Amino acid sequence: MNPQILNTYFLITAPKIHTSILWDLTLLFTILATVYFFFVFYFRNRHQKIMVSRTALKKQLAPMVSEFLFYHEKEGTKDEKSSYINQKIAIRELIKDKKNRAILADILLDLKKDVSGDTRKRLFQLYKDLNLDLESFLKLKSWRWQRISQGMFELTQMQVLEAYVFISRFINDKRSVIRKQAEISIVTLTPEGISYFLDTTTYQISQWQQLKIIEVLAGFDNFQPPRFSNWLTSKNKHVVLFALRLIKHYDQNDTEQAIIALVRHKNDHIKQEAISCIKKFHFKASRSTLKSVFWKSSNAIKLVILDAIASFENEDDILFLEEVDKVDINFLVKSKALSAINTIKPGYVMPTEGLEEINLEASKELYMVDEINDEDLVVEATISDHQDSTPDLSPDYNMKDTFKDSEENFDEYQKNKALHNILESHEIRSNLTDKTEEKPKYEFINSSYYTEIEFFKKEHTKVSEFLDIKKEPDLGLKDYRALDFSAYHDIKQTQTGLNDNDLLSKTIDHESISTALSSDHQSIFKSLFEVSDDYCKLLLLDEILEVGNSKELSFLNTLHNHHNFEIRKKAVLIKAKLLEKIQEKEAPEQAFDDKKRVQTLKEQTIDYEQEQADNYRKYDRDENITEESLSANKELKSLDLCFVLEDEEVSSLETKPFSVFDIDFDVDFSEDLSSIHHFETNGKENVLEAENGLTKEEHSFFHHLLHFPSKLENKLNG
Amino acid sequence: MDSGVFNVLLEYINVVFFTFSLILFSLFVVMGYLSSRNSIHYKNKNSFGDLSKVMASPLAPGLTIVAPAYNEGMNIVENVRSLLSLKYVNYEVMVVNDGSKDDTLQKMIDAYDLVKINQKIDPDWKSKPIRGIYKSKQESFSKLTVIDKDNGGKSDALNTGMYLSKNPYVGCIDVDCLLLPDALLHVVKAFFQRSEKRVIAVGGVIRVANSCIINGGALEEIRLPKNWLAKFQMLEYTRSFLLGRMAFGRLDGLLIISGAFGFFDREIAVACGGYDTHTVGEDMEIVFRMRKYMIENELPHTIEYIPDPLCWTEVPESVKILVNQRDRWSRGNLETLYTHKNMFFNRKYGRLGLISYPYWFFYEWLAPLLEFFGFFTIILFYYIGILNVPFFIAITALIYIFSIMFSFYAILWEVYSYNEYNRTKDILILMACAILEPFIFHPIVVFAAVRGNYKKLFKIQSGWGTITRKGFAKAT
Repeated sequence: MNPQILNTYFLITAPKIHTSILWDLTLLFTILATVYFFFVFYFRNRHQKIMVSRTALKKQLAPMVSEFLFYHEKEGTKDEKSSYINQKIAIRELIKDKKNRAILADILLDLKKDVSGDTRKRLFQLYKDLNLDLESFLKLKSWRWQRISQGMFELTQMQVLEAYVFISRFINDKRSVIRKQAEISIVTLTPEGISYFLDTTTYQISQWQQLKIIEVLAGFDNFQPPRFSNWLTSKNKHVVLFALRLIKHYDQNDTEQAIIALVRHKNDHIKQEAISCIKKFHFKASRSTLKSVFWKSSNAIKLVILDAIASFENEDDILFLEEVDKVDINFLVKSKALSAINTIKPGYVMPTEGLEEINLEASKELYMVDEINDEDLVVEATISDHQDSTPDLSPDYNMKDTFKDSEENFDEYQKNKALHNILESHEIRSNLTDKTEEKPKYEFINSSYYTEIEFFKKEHTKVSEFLDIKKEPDLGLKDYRALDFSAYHDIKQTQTGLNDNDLLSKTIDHESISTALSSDHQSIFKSLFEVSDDYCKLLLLDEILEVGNSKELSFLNTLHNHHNFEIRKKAVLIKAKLLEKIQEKEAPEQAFDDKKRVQTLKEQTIDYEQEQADNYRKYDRDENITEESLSANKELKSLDLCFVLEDEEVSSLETKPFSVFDIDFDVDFSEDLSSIHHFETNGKENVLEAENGLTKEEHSFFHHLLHFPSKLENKLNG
Repeated sequence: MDSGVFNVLLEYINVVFFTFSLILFSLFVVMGYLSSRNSIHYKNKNSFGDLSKVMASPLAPGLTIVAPAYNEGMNIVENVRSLLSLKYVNYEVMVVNDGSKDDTLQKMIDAYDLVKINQKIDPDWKSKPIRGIYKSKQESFSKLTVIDKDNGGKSDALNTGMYLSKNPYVGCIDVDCLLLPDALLHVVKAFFQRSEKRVIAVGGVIRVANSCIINGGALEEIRLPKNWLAKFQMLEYTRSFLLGRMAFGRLDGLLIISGAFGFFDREIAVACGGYDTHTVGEDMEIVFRMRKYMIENELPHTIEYIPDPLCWTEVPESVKILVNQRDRWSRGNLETLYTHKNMFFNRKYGRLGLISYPYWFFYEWLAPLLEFFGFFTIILFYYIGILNVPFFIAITALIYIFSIMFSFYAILWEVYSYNEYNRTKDILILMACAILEPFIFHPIVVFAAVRGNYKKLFKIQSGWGTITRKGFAKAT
């Protein structure tokens, strides 16, 4: 074989692994495993032994230490003094042993946590008397970082003030554990240590270290903090940062300019801390600086800046915040900007996303038509009913044709509304049939309905009592009867088989009317509220402010007892704002047109109702009507008030179209004029605070309203 | 084939095995050394001082514990109570009900008097829809927030919690884990103690709580698990956490933080996109991504590791559940290594690219596969009569003795540093586990790893699987 082949063969031949090497390594590892095996038990036993011996020695030393701490030389007897001296000698003998010294130092360190006042001072003295401090001083000379740290720790805990100079040398030690312990020690030993530390340190100060130092400073009695602003110009950025934190912690708000200047610092931590100080101390002069640094800052800083700007609550900043919302791409920043705007001016920004698609303009129209439809339904029903009961009534009075177009547009809504009313009536009937005070069983009946109905009944009883006593047949009852018919018809349509003369059905009529009327004054948001979760409810509240009118006020009142605190709070807020908004009384032309339309309807309705009432009087005289049904009807007589008012006052209010259908029946007649909260005219909100001054016409209206009973009484008395 | 060349090939196989073993031995020896140094350093550094003084500091940073819960109805109330009783001034517990099919949410609502609250949510945030956010009406539970969301897996739940948290630090833990009362103080210290580097994450030791006595959410007595499988796992955890993680912590080369106890700098975690929802090894993947992010942006950073036994958890006591768990781990491992393959021996990533990643590649991923195929190759070689029997026996004995030695070393460090299991019987049982492990426990782990790789390779759909917990309340 030639050498080349040999060389190739050598190259591809695997190096020989001698099995003996493997066995040798196995043996080595076996020995190591055995050593570890014994070491495990050795360490375990040593650990236990140390624990046992320390416990025993502690038991021996603890009484001696107690005696030293609580012995008073002047008070002690001769024997006690002798015993005290003997124990001192004994303990000195004991601590000649290094281990015992360490254990005694441990005992004293432990004891320090549990004693205070003079006892603690004696403890510190004992530590020195037994020369344990020398042991700690010796540790400072060690080359091992853990021993040096331990020494500093012991000297600090035992308040050996002489150690201050020795420890301060370690303040810039390159070994971090020593350095950190030195920092804590010099601050702990004397309150002035903090100044020295901030003056001399050249290293970083970790947040943990800052936290610990603040805790140490908090432990000083009557600590007079230095002016930390002195260190805001330090070359060590960590010192600047810590100084800012200390300034904030100790409320040193006399360095406005320096802190504002630090907002421009390159370091984000310093910037953030400076902004935090600005926010806390309310440095409004920083507004322009904050805005100028905003765009170049990180998102985290942007959030802090926005927070600070919001805290100033200056409306001039809204433009800037709006710009942030438009320009910035980060969701959190945008969200914070909007939140800041709302903090400055609550309700300025309304939620736009995640809302149900409702055409607000249409809703407004719907709202108008809703009133019309409600009336329309009533009128229509009345006609139909009248056709049943009074065949001589002309069908030309069907008002439905007047609003045919509107109805076509909102046919669906109308159906739902009618159904809703029917369901309400049905529910009320069930409750009345049961003749219990139970809450409604169906969820769609809001408790506020009940309140309104109850209130309505109560209010009407006041007037009707009077009217009934006088037995005056011609007091505008025509209108009430017409309404009674209409609601009755509503029920009748859905509840076939219900006898007209049935007492129960009459009762239903009464409640239906109440419901129908209250629905006139019912917020369109009510039904939405019933099917919404809390979040949507909050959004709806915002919408109420945007599109709502005085109809929403009573609804908002019902929310005062809502289970959700936020909703309760917001309802109060929105109500206040809505009142403000309504007060502004800006009536757009369109609204005026709508008013006119409604007014026309009202006038037509009144004419129609007048005839209805005449028919009703016939009906009333009908022998088939039972006493019970009459009494049920009587409960509704407060509505007469509305119609009488209309008869009486409509001419005086001609300059300001007014609909009796929109009277807020919450008006309390027993109260003075000043307590009158609001009223509405023709669907357009016109809520007035009496204290803020009413117009002459309005005052006249209320005057009439309040004096109505006496006027009527006089009339009735001839 | 020429028999001479074939023999040379066979001999090379011996060399490869021997070299591989030697490298691993060397790595483990270095690991042992580094972990010992780190343990001693940690012990000395923390031998004095009082953490609790900082507990109520006004500067204490806010911390959110995010605990995903899926069908945890059995123990959820007790587990949450335990989380609410931690010693720290400024923290929040955020339980994310990940579309549980049982009564997990209802139990929490009833027990903690929860009500739904309104909170604006980023419409662009990619996670499964949030059904509701709940807070307690009672002041005593004000730290508790419950998120109810559609099922999207653990990562999705953690991401949701991370997103909804307002605090700078977020802890992602398993809801069934038991944290010791001062756990958060240690975590905050770990985050705050560095000034030259940003601590982006903090991990800790996971201890085995099977058979321990736990009362009212507090660990009353530490006991060795009664179940043998749990005992093996306890030994494995001790070895892994006290030696492996400590060593990589010393090297600043940690590439994994246990999903059961991991805390993150929220800003960085969110900047990286949070947990990856497409992997089952999300706890490892997020650390890879966060570290890469910091390195690529040239931001000095580190990951801290706390060796103190702060988190206790139940480990599987049945082979089936164990295999599922390890199967998942190996799939996660493979997915993560594959996703970040550009780190492999990449100098740009420093120690991570040159040491940590290759360690994970060769030892955590490749070693079980080599063992598995090596086993069958040996049988084959034996049948066809080409097995070098003396070499095989020698190297097997060497590896076996080394594994025992290394386990003994781990037990030694456990006794030296924490001395949790100091009864002679307990120590002997652990040592017996070390001797038996290569024959009983290790094959199960290897099988699970191979199965996981097989599933991943052939794209066999497999999710998280389920772990049936006994519950701490029943652990005696």
